[in-house]
Formats: sequence, C-alpha cells, structure tokens
Amino acid sequence: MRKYILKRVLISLATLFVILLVLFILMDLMPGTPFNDEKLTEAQKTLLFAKYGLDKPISTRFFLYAKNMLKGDLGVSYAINKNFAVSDMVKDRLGISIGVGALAMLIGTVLGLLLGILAALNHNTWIDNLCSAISVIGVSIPSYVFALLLCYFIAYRLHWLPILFNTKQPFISLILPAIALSVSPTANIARFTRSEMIDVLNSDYILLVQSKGVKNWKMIISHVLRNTLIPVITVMGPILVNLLTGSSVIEKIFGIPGIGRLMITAIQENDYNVTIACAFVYSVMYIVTMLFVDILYGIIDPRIRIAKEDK
Amino acid sequence: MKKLLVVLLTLFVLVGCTGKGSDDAEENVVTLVTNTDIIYLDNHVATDGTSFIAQTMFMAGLTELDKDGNWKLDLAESYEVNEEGTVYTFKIRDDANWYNKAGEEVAPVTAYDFEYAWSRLVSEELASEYNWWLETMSVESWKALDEKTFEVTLFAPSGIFMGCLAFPSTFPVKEDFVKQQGDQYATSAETVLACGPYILDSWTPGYSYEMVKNPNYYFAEEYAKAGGPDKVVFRVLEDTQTALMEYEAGNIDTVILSGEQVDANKGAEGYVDRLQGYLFYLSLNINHSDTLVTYQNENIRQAILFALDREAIAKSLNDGSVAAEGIIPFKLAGSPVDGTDFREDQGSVVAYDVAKAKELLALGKEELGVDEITINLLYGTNEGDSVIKAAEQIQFYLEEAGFKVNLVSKQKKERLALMTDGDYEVALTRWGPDYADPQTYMDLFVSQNTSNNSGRYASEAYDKDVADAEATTDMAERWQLFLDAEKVLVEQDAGVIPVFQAGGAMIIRPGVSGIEFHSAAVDNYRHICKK
Repeated sequence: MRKYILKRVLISLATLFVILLVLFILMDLMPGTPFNDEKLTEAQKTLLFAKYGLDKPISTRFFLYAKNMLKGDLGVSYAINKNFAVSDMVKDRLGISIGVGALAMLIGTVLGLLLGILAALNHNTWIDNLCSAISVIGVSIPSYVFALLLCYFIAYRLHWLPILFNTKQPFISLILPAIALSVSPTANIARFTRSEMIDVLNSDYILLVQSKGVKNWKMIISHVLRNTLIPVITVMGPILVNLLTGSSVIEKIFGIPGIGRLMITAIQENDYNVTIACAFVYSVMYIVTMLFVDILYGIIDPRIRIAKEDK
Repeated sequence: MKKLLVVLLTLFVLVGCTGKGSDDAEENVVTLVTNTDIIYLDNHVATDGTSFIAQTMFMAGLTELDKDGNWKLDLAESYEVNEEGTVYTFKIRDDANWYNKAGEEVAPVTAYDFEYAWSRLVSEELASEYNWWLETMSVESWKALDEKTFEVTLFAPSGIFMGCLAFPSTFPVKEDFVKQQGDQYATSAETVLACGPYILDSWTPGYSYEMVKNPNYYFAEEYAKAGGPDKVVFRVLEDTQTALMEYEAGNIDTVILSGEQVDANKGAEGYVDRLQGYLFYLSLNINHSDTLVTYQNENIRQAILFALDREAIAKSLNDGSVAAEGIIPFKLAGSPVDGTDFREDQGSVVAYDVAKAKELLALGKEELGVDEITINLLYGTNEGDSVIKAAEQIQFYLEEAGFKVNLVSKQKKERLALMTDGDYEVALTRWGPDYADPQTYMDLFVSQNTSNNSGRYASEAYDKDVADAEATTDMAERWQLFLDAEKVLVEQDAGVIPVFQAGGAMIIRPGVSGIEFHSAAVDNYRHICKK
C-alpha cells in the first residue's frame, strides 16, 4: 500500500508539472495582453512588459515561475489588484470557497444518500418516484435559479437568513449559497446511489445474507451500503473538487469573494499569474482528491487493496 | 425523512434566533454599492473610476470639483497666478496633515509631497498609465519653494489646469512613507496614508472597503453638521438582482440597476437617471490595414453615418443612455464665453436618413466595384449588456441600409489588441473623458496619435484645427476651433461614427444626498450625507 501511494504521489507531481507547462503555453497563446487599455500608449506597454519581465522568452519565464512557485511565490497580479501577491489573493479567496463548497458537499452528500437509499429501499413505489422527480429537478434546473429563489423567499420575504454574504456572520450567510450549490450534487448522488443500491439489493450475496437471517438494518449498513458506496465515491471526488473551487455564478449572486469569480475575472482581464495560479490550484485539488478517493477505495473494498499490493 | 425535517427546522430556528446583530447601530453609516472593486489604491498607478473615487475620499488634491464640475480650492488655501497665466503659486493649508489607518497624525502635508508625487507620476520606473496627465495640463515644471508653497510653471496658459488638479493622479504622496513601504505601498489600508476627508479603514478585495470620517479635515465640522456620516462602506456587488433585494431589505443605501430593472423601478423614490461621460462610437479601419480599402471610401463611411437610428438604439438599451449627436458627449464642457454646453452650441452633427444611406452605399459600391459590402463588426462581450445590445441594434440598422453585417464578439482585452494591431474592420468602442474639455476627445483622432486613433483617420484640416486650438491662448477661439474640428471629423469626413452616450440608472435611498456625478473625471462622494 505504501509503495502504491508513493508511486501515485510521484505520478501526481509529474502531472502537475506538465499541467503548469501547458497552462503557461496556453497563457502565452491567449490573445491580448494584461496591458490592453484604451489609454495606454505603445511606449507605456513596452515599459510595463519590461517591468513585469514579460519581454523575456517564454522558457526563461517558465523556469523562473516554477522556481518561485516552489518558494510559494506565485508572482503579482497585473490587472485585478495591481501588484498584489497572487498567493495572498488566492489564499484568502480559496478559504471562503472551500468553506461554502465543504458545507454544500456535506448537505449534498447527506441529502443525496438519504434520497437515494429511500428510493432504492422503496423501489417502484410513490416514494421512489418522488425521490426520482426531485433528482431530475435538481439536475436540470441551474443552481442560480435556486439561488435566486432561496434569496427571494428565505432571505428577502421570510428574513430567516441574510441575502448576501457577510464577513461579520460568515457561517450564517454561507448557508443559502451552500444550499443552492448543493442542489446538483444532491441530485447526482441520489440518482447514483439509487441505481447502485438497487443493483446490490438484487445481487446473490445479499440473498445469502438475508437467508442467513441477518437483521434488516444491519444488512443494509454493513453489506448493502458498503458495496453501494464504492462507485458513489468515484462520482463524489470530482463533485467535491467542483464545489471546493468555487462557483462563479453563486459567488456573484451572493457577493462572495471566492476563487471561482477570481478565475473568471483573471481570464477576462488576461491577468496571467492569477489565471495560472487559480487553474493550478484547481489541478492540485483535483489530483489530491483523486489520490484520496483511490486510497479510500482500498479502505472500503479490500479486494482493490489486495489487487494493488500485488502490483 | 422526519429526522431530516427536524434537523432542518432546528437549524432555521437557531439561525433565526441569532438574527442580524448590527454593531453599527449608534453610528451614522452609509453603505454604497459598487459593481467593481478597487484595482489599486496608489493614486499614481490607478486607472479606473472605482479606484479614483476611493482616492478622492481618503486623499485630496490642491482643488476639488463641486457638484457642477467647477473647481474650488481644497488642500490649497490660496493661489496666485502671473499675468501670462503660466506660473501658479499655491499655498497649502496649515491644517493639512497625513494620517495613518488608526487616525493618528503622521506629518503635515507639504509642498515637497506634491513635488515628489508629480515626479513619481511621470517617472519611467513607475510606468504609470496616467504619466501624460501633467502634459495635458500644460505643465512644464514644478517645485516646492518652501514647506507650504508649491510653484507650477506651464508651457502655455491652460483653461483646464485648475480643474485637472482635482484628479487623483495629481494628489500628493509622502516620499519617505512610499519608500519605506516599497513594493507593499498601497496594497492595503495599512500601507497608505490619508490626507482627505476620510481615512481608509479596511479593504477586503472582492468584498468591501470602508472609510471612516477624518474628524480633523478642514471641513469636517461643517460636514458633520450637514449629516456627514461617521463611516462609508462600499460593498462590491456584481449581481443587480440580489443587490436590489438587499436595498429593499434596507441593508444598503444605493443600488445600480440593470436595463431590465429600470422599467419596474422608474417611479421608485430615489430613482436617478444619470448621464455618464462615456461616448460609444464606431471606429472604422480607414488606413490601418494593408488590404482593407472599403472604409477609405467616403461614401461608404457616410452611408454608415446616416444608417443608424441613434434614438432607437439608445432607447432599446433602456438604461438612461442617450443618442449621440457628435463625438463630444452632452454636459462635458461649457463654452468659455457663456457656458453653453458644447453639444448645445454645436447642435447635432449626425443624422438618421436611411434613404440617403442607401444612396451613398450604392455610390460607394460602384466606386469600389463590388456588389456587396460585408461589415465585420467587432465588439466586446464583457463590456456590459448595453454594448451587446447596441452591437445587435447597429447590425440591424446597417442591414436595413443594405450592408451585410457579421458580429465579431471578443473579450475586451482582445478587442483592444485587435484594434491596436489594425486587425479589424469596424469596432464598437468607447472613450471616457478624463477632464471636462473637448480636448480629451479631440486628441484621440489626430493623425499622430497612433495609440488611440486605431483606424488611422488622417485629415490635415482636422489636425490643424486641433493643433491651433491647443496652441491658442484665446479661449473663445479655442472653443470655436474644437467646434470646427468636430464638424470635420464627423459631419464632413465620417471619420468616426458616434452612436450613444452611456447612461446609468440607480436608486439612492431618500435621505442620502451629496453624491455628485460628473460626466468627466471622477464622481464625487466626499460630500455624501445621510439623515
């Protein structure tokens, strides 16, 4: 297991290096520069390019960037908050995005699993249909519609929660955004859990467990759920990364200074360092989550662990 | 399921109990909405309206603009000017001081601060995007004669000089503080000094920035009596729908409305339709391409000029925008003779006449020897809804007149890059005036301005008018030359095609007053009051 993890970590690091290189090249190919403004003369642009070292060849810039990155220096912003250290910009906003994302994931997982299990246990009854309907609605209606509905009814009409994000009440003001964000993961997890669980319930080994006279709830928890969770965890990995890296739309609606919004603005403003940093953070989180999911498999399903140790 | 309901209900009840705990209860706080964040606190590097507005609040210059856009003395207590109008000597107020974030007095504001600040603005090392500002003001040199006396020499008398001193690019900075902070200067509330009616208390990028009143500012007492708040909070909100809910819930005092929200809120108390200085126009690539000849043809250009129903286009934007009548916007500048607005003095230099446009297009096609003219219309997709709507409208009217139009949508930065390289045909672009004078627009289209004159419009008559206007000391003559120049540029040559002047609708809570909108330079929030 340890050898396996070590190998995976090394592969991950190599992947990240390649991602960084590709990002750098893509950034270079992006049309326009951070210093395109009606009011800027050619001479000023040349000065600015020289000031930020952008006049150097891409290879020089790349290795300099990679070197600085290892020291935790992600460069400075050119356009969004001029001359700000990108590491600070990303750090502050990532924290908030992770907060909302984690809360949304928690709500999504709990609700999704409950809905899925409920539907599977009551297969082909009205409960199943209701749960399926909820899932379909959740998948097909975009989160910003839910966000605005929640804002209007829960916050604006009923005054139960604040409309906008507020640093003075960070937890309370993040509940609505988290609920809005959790709608789609809830639906996805519910649908997946339902179909997996129905499969498991119809399998021979469950029949065997039942015939052994194991109590119903015990059977569900230690036999059915455990086997259902393996594929469910596979889909949860990417969902989690998606949630943690922020949603531009939800952040805009609730006025949250998160990383999703930052990345979109950075792309629009051609703020190279910020775009690379955001995209890279996204990649790191994705790869780390995938690694984590892989390890989790081993814990849930001994067969995978054994198979991997053989390699 | 029941358990879940219980958990959810408990959660809501708990949340309801904690409620809204306001710790600003006894303070007079105004909360304003801004749809963009501060980009830079450094007044010499900033280029955007939001940053400039913030700077006018916690900093100050020799003058400031009143609600009508006329200058009045601010940090300067008095000034003298020589007979030729070329040497100005300012006396800086004795009570002008620098304050840190905690509100502690750091040092007096001196003439040396201005001397250093202006040198910093034009220094190559800083590469400021506004390093041309002093030259526009006709400034030749500057020096501090003593602690409180600042002398400025102009290379020619200037009618805009005193007004331009209210622009943040000319505000002072304290040399030893700037040097001590180094790279960190002006990256947070802790790393700037205040010398204005407010002190920057905090800045959370992407979220909000807050100013507290400076009780030692020279007009602080009078201002407090008039209802000046203890604190002004700027909240960064991009979504207009939740912002409107927040306004109606009473949590914020202003809200910026989008086109769709205007109709529903037009009658609302506090609704304001404001005219902005931004003039949107079509830039035609006349001479900035090796292959393109279409727009060298005057009939084609004139056909475009006549094809647009500007009234209808502006109306469709539904955000207070108005039809352009020339390249100089409404309410930008008044005549030096009697104060008449430039637009009123000039009248309209554009007209909508689709029959004439068709006629001119036919002539143009014949001269070019082509059967059809296809216009690739470049516009930015991230420059606001009104730009997208306007581009579609322009397409409609040009097609009505017989052109074929392809819309080419790009991000703003890319649009600008294409225009700089001359790699476009017709582009919808804009200019925001930096100072209240026609020159801010007229300078754009002279043939030697390769930065802004993307289409390389070149006219000897126009160049001469503008050059003469800038050289003369007779303000009435100068005004007349600008009037002539606009006629040459738009009416005679159709060198650029003015389309609309941007508007902006917002709601300001009744009881909140003193927000001064200027069509040029920077809106003034330093006299905001709340009762």
